[in-house]
Amino acid sequence: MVTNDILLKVENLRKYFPARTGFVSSILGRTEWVHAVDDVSFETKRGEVLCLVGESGCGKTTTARVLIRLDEPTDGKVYFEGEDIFALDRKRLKNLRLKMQMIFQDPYTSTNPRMTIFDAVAEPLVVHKLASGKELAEKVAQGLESVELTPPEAFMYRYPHELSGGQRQRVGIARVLILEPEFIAADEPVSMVDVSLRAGILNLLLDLKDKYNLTYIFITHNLAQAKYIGNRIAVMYLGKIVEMGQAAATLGEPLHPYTKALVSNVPIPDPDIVRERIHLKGEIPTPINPPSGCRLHPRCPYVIEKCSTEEPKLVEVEKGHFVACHLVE
Amino acid sequence: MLSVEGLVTRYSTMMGDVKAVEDITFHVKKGEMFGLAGESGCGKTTAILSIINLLPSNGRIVSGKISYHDHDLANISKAELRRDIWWKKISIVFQAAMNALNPVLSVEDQIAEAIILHEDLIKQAALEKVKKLFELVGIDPTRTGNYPHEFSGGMRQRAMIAMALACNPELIIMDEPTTALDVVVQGEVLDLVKKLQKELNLSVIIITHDLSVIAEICDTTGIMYAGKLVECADTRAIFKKPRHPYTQGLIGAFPSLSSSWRRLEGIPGSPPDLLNPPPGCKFHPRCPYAQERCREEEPISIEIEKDHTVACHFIDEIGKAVYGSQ
Repeated sequence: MVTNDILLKVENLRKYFPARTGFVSSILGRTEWVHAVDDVSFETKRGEVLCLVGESGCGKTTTARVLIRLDEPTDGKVYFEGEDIFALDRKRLKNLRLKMQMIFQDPYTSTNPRMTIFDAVAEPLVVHKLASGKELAEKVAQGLESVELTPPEAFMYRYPHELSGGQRQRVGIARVLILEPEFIAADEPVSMVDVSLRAGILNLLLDLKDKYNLTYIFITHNLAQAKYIGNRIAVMYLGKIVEMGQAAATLGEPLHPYTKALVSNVPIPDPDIVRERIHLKGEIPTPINPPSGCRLHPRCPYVIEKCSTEEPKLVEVEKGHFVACHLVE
Repeated sequence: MLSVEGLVTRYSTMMGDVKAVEDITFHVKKGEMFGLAGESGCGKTTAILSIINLLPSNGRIVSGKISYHDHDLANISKAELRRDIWWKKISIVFQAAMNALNPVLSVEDQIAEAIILHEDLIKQAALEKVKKLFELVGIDPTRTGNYPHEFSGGMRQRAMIAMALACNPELIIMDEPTTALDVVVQGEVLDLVKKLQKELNLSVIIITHDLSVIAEICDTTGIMYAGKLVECADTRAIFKKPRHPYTQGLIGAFPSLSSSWRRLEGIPGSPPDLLNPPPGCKFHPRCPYAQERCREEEPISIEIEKDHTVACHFIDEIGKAVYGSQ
């Protein structure tokens, strides 16, 4: 259930990484910056799934990492339940970690090969000193059951290499759930899982959301997945949100030229549907020196003069539908 | 044109033989786009490596016949392959365009090398040809002298396609040609492949785990599971009226941008370990229709309609359950 209660509020978030530059520029103090996330603002309501979509390098993963404070921002604020998460001290940050968790992309590297599944799932509770002994064992068993690794005894004493990618990703989800979080950032949780097992994981995430009243930020490059799992969707390009709105409506009738191009290029698993693809010129430029004005302007098929000089703002063009494009305003 | 019959390929490992490809049969016609789909580890790459005789040293073709025109590719010497087949008749575009190009040679030198070796041209003529190939695949011909790192991902993939076309082959095999690419670039590459196929009347075999890529461009689709070709038919039939429970499951598990929301059905269980595949039908541990017979007896591929083969004991019963009596 999507409520009206705003759980997470992101304001003008920026994250720049120093780019590796040459020796000479480093002594001259000319560091270049990768503008990974550049002035991103959005809100997430409790019970909602907001999908961040975009191509590789658009800043979607960095956004998620910063907003659960795995990385410190260059600038901007993130409020979780009204609290500024970058102002928290260590102790309160640790408490916040109980409420905000992340599911990582690669189930093959995010599980420690030397830990049994029991230890992997129990670890968060041990770290936070929330359970031990019999209670811990019970919670781990429940955790495995909730991600449909049943019977739990059949999995607990195995090692990650004995599990399939789909099962490992379920272990990753169990590790997160065991802390009973309110908010989960899921970073491409099924992109490395076998295709026949992906739907099972997506359904599990949807079911868990309903059962525990969770809120997700779901990161994916796959628009069909975003449409399947998301209530709302935010499309990112070169560190900026270019369009944001209800998932089905936005993907059904995209307004921003970039979203239009993305949608027209997604292959459809139906041989009867033939569409004209919108081609963008060239490829995504480097985020080190992003283009002036609208970042899409060198590639946009609809470019006008204004686009190269003036940056379009993200404005609400219909209720709940935001677009950053001079042609749409 | 290309006919694979009863191909069995295995890899020897310390733990025993991996039964990567088990008795698969399919045909590729002149000018056809053939898609081979399946999950990772289902044997699709092994199948095509067998076809062009590029199996790693622990792999071997146990039995089967691979006929290409009058050649039997399963029993042909490497020298003959090099002289008559590779590049000139059949070429391949590998999955990772980044790793398949040599980083210390300019792109034109790499492509010209193949042309000089196979076509007896002098370097100048070969370089001219590279420029033409670049135009054909939509890269600015003034950039032939660049090195691979100066190309973007999409351009590298185009350069790989140009290279595959260098000696005018009639069959191109593409292993996951768009997997590493972003959506917009993937769309461009798919359009390019379609265009080239038409203009040059090529036959193309595309291997992918992404069924939607197949739906976009392939005429015929083969679905592989655990080393078996479980269903093979016209692409439309595969997507509109799949008959094998695995094909049905796979299609039901794919979210689509074009359809309205429906709950996807995942396939329970996991793909089997090909060191010790299950007896009988390889899909039976995950099949919702499995019965005793499936556990014991391996189904053979039968042609249920013209050019539509399925390997399942209960095609009729499942057909009725899924599609009614028609």
